[in-house]
Amino acid sequence: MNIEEYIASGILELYTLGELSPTEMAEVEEMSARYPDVQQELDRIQETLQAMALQSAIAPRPALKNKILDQIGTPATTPATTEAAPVASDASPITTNNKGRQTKTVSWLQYGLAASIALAIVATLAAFYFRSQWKDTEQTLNSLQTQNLQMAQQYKTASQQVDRLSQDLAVVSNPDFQAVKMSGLDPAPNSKAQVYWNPDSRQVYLKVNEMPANPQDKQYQLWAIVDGKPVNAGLFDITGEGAQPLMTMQNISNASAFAVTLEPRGGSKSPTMEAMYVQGAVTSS
Amino acid sequence: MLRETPNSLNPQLPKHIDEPSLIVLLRQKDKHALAYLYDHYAAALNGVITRIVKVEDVAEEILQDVFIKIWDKIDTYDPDKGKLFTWMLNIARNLAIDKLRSKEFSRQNKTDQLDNNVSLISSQSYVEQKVKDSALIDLLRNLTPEQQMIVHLIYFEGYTHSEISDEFNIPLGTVKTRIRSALIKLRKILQIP
Repeated sequence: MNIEEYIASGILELYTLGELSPTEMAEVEEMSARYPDVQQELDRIQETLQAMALQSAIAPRPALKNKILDQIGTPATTPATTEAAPVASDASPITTNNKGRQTKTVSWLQYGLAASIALAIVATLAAFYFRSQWKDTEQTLNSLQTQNLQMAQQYKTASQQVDRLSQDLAVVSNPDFQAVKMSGLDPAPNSKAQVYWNPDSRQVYLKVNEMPANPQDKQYQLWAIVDGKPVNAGLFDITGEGAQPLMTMQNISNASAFAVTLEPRGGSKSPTMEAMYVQGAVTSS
Repeated sequence: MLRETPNSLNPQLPKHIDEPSLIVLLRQKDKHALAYLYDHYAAALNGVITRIVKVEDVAEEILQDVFIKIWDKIDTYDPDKGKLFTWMLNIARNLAIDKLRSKEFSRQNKTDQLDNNVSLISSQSYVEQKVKDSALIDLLRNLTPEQQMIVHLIYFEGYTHSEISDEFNIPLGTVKTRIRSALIKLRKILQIP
């Protein structure tokens, strides 16, 4: 292998950063043992990393040094037992058996008491600790659940919209449906709506592009003119402005025209002519 | 000379101890040797750790663990495989990365992440956005943006080279050669022969 290429590949940098697999590491070690150039390059990389770290050092708080040295200092287990021993052994060698036994019993009681107090404290602390842990987890869970719910709602709305749009599109793009354009009349000249009518299946859909919202006590009514007479084709409400979703109306055959009037809520038997908002004739194709 | 002085050692170690003697002393569990190590390298290691975990208190906890690990594991250190500092640096880096990926730590930062959506960092704007750290800025100033980004990610954010490759869509070979070219430039800046 070409040593220069090997060095240039960047493998020695990864070795120094401890990012190689054991096999790759063994390979680097073998190469560095065999080729002084590899070893020299490894030394330089290490020196660079060290110099970088020294150059961008951040001093820890001064107290940390003693904290660490204390922790590694004396073996942690010995002092506790040597402190405990004298209490029990103080009295026993000099005093009588009886007294010795008494002090022993007392000291055992003391130990027992101390131990149970310690246990109670530890248990309380543990309870607080776990409680706060649990609180945190619960909070995270809540916020995730809320998010999840919002997403689910958004998804539902979006998918409903998609469903409706694709249904609408199926009607609008179906060549069997005839579009009947209805333009605004006196009460609201800017009104605009379209009927999609399939003469064979008799299905009628209504698309309102622009019509004023109807009062609470009234409703719009769609009429079809069949053989010169108006026939009820269904009631609907307009609550908002602008284009409304496609509405399914009553089936109609042999229509020559369509119109919409404003009627008392519940509809009328025959249209109120002066309250006609839009109308349009079926163009025979 | 230093070999035969386990506990009776003078509390004041000489100002400079060469690395082999220092290792011998550490293996003999000489507390002063660890104090020496701390005086010379704690700040450097703390710099690395702090930049990875970002929180000062957490960094100092890790630094403490690093020194305890050095103390406990000095027998596993093999001088043939690298300098003492490299060994310590990798202990520090690994502990910091472990912490960064631990459940406890990610839980602390989770609520922030929920609000933060995806943030994309391009290598051009990388330095202005991420490095508000004067010591680092000085050091990295003369590197190309790509080199700055890679050094910052690897050395100060705790990424591995394969993670960079995955996350930033850079081929592994390119990551490696970029690390190399960055370190060569840094070597010159730091005036290492």
